[in-house]
Amino acid sequence: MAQQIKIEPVTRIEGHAKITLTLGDDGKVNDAMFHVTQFRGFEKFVEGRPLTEMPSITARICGICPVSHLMASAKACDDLLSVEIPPTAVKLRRLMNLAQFTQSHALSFFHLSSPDLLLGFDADPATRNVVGLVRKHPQRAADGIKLRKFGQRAIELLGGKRVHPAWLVPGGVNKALDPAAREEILAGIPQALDIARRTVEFFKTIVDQFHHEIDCFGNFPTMFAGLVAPHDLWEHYDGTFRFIDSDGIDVVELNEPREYQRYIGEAVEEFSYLKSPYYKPMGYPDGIYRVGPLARVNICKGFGTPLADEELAEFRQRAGNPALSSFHFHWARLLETLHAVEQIQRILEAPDILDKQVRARARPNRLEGVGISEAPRGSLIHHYKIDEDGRMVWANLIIATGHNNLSINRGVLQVAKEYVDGTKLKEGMLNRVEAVVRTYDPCLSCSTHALGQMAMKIELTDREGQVLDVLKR
Amino acid sequence: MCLSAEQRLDNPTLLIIGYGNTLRRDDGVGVEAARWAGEHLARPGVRIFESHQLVPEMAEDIACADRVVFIDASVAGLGVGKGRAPGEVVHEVIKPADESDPSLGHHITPQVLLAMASAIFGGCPEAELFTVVGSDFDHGSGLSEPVARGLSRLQELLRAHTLTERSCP
Repeated sequence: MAQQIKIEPVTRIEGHAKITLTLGDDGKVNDAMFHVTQFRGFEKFVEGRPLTEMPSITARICGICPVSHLMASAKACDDLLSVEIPPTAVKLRRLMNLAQFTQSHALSFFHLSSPDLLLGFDADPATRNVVGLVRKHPQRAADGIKLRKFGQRAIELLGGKRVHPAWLVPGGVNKALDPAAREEILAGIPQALDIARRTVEFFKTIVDQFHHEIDCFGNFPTMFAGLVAPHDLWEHYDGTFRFIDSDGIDVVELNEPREYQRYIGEAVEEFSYLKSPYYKPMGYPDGIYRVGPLARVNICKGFGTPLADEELAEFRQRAGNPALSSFHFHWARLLETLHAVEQIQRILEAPDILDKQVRARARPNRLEGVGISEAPRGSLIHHYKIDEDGRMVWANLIIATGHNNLSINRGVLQVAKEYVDGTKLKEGMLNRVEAVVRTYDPCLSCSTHALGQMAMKIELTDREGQVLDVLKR
Repeated sequence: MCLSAEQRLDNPTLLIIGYGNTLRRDDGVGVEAARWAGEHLARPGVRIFESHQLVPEMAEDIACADRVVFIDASVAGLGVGKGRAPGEVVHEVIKPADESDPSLGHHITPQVLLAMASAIFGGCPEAELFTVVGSDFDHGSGLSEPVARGLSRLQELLRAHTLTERSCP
């Protein structure tokens, strides 16, 4: 029996997961597995529901980023209705998705990853957390709160509430933008832009400290995938779905979302409830690809807004083009935040943004529909089949973290091999193993707050199961 | 924007935050309590939030209050609910967290929010946590019978609390 180290739960991520490291006879890491231990079952229990309920039902997959599921679901429903939604509705949907990017990226960077980045991977875990962060870096923490609040408030103003707004509907949105809401969001732009800019500037001053982590935090060639806009610009809502290889060369571009099944397969592993999507033409598990901020930045030629494009040029120069280390998810997340704020302003200044025509109405005109949008964590695919009465008969959801599952597993193994010495555990080693998972900002989904507390306990055992070493948090 | 210290002395503010998931039955008791408070306790100086969960941006509002009352549910047999019967209402005076729960993800505790309010925004309100012990956290809306009775007791307590005049130290 091989020796194993178990890290459970993985901390500062969304949802419940554990990591198992398997050691060889020499005490070095041989294998690593990232297990997602929660089961949701949404694909099954939506069967029989009217398609019109799908955006609201699937938004309940997550209490943190419900907007993402609303977006992909509404697009799948648009496809079932075969409608072209009004241009203002498209702008409003984009606005909400960008607000979601802003608040979600702020939480990921400032509250979940900053304890490692600002306090150090080897800092005492009793203080390497958000409370330690706010005490040592109150200004950074305040920036995180203000940026998140800006995004959340924009979502609330658009959708009526911050969590689970029922505003996105098949065919568009159910309410036009109120002029006062437009003014309030615009009034928040200067502060949000200042925070986004100074955070990128700050990150650039510290990123070189992490050259060792950059070298081994998921630093390997893979494909990258995501939506891209006309003229190869960054995209989050529509456009074509592109795969590029690790040299940045276009591999394939899906013009129709329904084509996704030709290129994306879904493997299932016994050790995790999370499926492992792969690029079908290369087979499993060779068809590994990444989605999310790093992928979106790698597959586009530019953002199309001045501040973000200026920063993107420096990113490419320093991190590579394409950038291959998953550590750079952090930097890419900050670039996207900057762009999101710029783009929110641009959309709000569009002359037709207050137009009242924001919904197209139709009965179902297709029995199968697919919607693809970009969640903060990466590409999100909703695929529905309905009966003649418009009731769901089948659903398939591929979430961002699923696309990244193969890469997360490989990244965990790479970091573990680099840092973990099985003969003597050090907390900082295992924190780095968790931290590579955090770079992806995985969302393992929650719909209610935690029931009780889980302790962090890591055991090192020998072949006979005898405990050699234990670390507890 | 927060009131000045002088304004706050003249008009002490109370913030009530009820949180939970109303689609997981007893988990929604905090939200139900906040909704009741909105109908029965609203007056100048009282702010009431209902929320799916606690979020970091509440720290600024907390910092601006003189008193904060959090209302949550707990599972019978676990944590606060250990050794207590469903429907029981537990009251605690709480302080800012010294160190955070290391399993922190997107879940945040009242104590962590108080620490954020203090460290980032310089606010140190008195804070209390009411927890109603629940027994049914399955999918669905509506409270179990014991928790519905607990909510009635909690409403009496909240009414008494909001009538109590206190001043921020």
